[in-house]
Amino acid sequence: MRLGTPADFKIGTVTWLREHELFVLHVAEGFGVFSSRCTHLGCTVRRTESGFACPCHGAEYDALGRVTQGPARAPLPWHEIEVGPDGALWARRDHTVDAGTLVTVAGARAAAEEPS
Amino acid sequence: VSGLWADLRDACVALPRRLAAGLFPGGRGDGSAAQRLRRFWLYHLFPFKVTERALAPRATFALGLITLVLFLVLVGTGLLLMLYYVPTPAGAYASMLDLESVVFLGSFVRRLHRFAGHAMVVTVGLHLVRVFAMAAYRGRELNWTLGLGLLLLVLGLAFTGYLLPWDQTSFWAVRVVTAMTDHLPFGGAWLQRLALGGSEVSGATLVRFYALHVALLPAAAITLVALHLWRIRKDGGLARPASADGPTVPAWPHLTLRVGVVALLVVCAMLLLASLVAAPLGPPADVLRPSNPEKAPWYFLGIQEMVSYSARVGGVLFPLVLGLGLWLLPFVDREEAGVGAWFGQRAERLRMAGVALVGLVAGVALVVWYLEPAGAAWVAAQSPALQELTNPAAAMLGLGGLLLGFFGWRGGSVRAGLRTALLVWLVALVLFTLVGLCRGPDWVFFWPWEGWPLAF
Repeated sequence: MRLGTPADFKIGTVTWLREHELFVLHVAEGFGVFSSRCTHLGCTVRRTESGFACPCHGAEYDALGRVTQGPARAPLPWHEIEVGPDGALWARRDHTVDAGTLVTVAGARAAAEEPS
Repeated sequence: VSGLWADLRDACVALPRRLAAGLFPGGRGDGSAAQRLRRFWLYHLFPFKVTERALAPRATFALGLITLVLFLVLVGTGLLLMLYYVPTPAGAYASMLDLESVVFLGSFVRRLHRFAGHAMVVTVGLHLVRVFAMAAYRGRELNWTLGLGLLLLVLGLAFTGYLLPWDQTSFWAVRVVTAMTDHLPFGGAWLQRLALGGSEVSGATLVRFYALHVALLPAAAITLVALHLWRIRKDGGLARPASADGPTVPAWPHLTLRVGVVALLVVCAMLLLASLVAAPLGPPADVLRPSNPEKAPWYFLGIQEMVSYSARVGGVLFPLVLGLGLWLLPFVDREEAGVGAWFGQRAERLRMAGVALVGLVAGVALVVWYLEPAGAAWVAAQSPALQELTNPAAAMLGLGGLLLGFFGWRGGSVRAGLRTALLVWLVALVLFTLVGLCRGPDWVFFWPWEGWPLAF
């Protein structure tokens, strides 16, 4: 599914794409996309100072979606990112990758740093 | 033609008499008191004579009867609610708002239905505890099984019922419970598709739960209630000690009057409650974001608390072990002593009180340890597989197992062992429910006086 152009996500931010139930992480090392559904029993996690927390049963994750505490046993699932012919970011729902797998996109940083 | 006229006239003349004879085939009879008693429909349910002991309030606290009356209240109010309720994601919450604000007495009927539902969960639970405590299940394996089936139906009705408003609690409860099927040993994926009508909670899911709530489960409950009541008479009325036959009195009016009074009191209590207290309605379902905290109704909070330790142990293993243990109890308990008295004889009373206390202290200690930063850090450092076992729910399950072994071996009695284990598990369930009540945003523990209100 189409996430948006690299310029839509500023460096150092996590953006929640509500309709896709995905977080898009953009740090200096690149982009990452992971699910906002708790791997425990499927509630939507919310952002906290240290990462993410689930309101239903108290699972906690770090900034990369890895479990730090609570009943969840698996990290938030990360998805493979592809760059479309139009230069936009696409996530592949059916392909998961290891938590913390960041993808660099050529020109993304320059685009993100340009004043919009 | 004249023959037809004559026949028609005769038929008309005879019609009142034939109606009376056809619809009341027994006729008037001789009008004797004995005959009137025999013909009274309630005598299909009650015996002619009951022991005075069975009439004493503390023999049963009328918990089964109260549950039945509440069930009838629920059927009546449920039929009224069905006239307005629309089982679609768009229509469900709107029909709740209509009931609350537009429909004449809609809010009142909804309150009655809601509170009678809550009350039925309470009375059915207490009824089970009473029969357990008095060992009244002894020799009544079938009726005990039917009763446990009714307990499951009551919980199923309660669960499917609170989904129907399609508010936040409804939606996220379905999401969480259907996700729990991932932790079943087999058949989980199939069950999940069956419950959801797809792979996600949707309108199809709502219709399925609606059908369960208004048709399938009530029909099953009515059937089981009939069988349950029939078995009480077949099993010889209330369970009692072999020595205590005691004097008997005619069921009419001694039993029937009491039944009527209890039924009226229950209805009055419900009417009063519904007049004074509003039924809660949460914000409409947001399929992308649960409220914080998102808490189940009180009767599932113990499970929710245990699931916050481990979905596998708290959501599947603990309920399964407790249910299986309860069900097997009358089959393995072959002792005659102590039937019909609260926790049997003095020795058993002492043992059960001690075990309840040990269970409570152990449970509180485990929860405190689990909530303390040091305990939480230790648990978080374990491997995911081990974390399933290093939590209060698994530990209480184990403690029950130890007590089963200890008292079973020491007393040479399966009854003593299993009853102590079941007691500890019931104590654990109550304790986890209380802890669950104290959970606030992000499932963090707050004391009630710390400003986080108890959610109902």
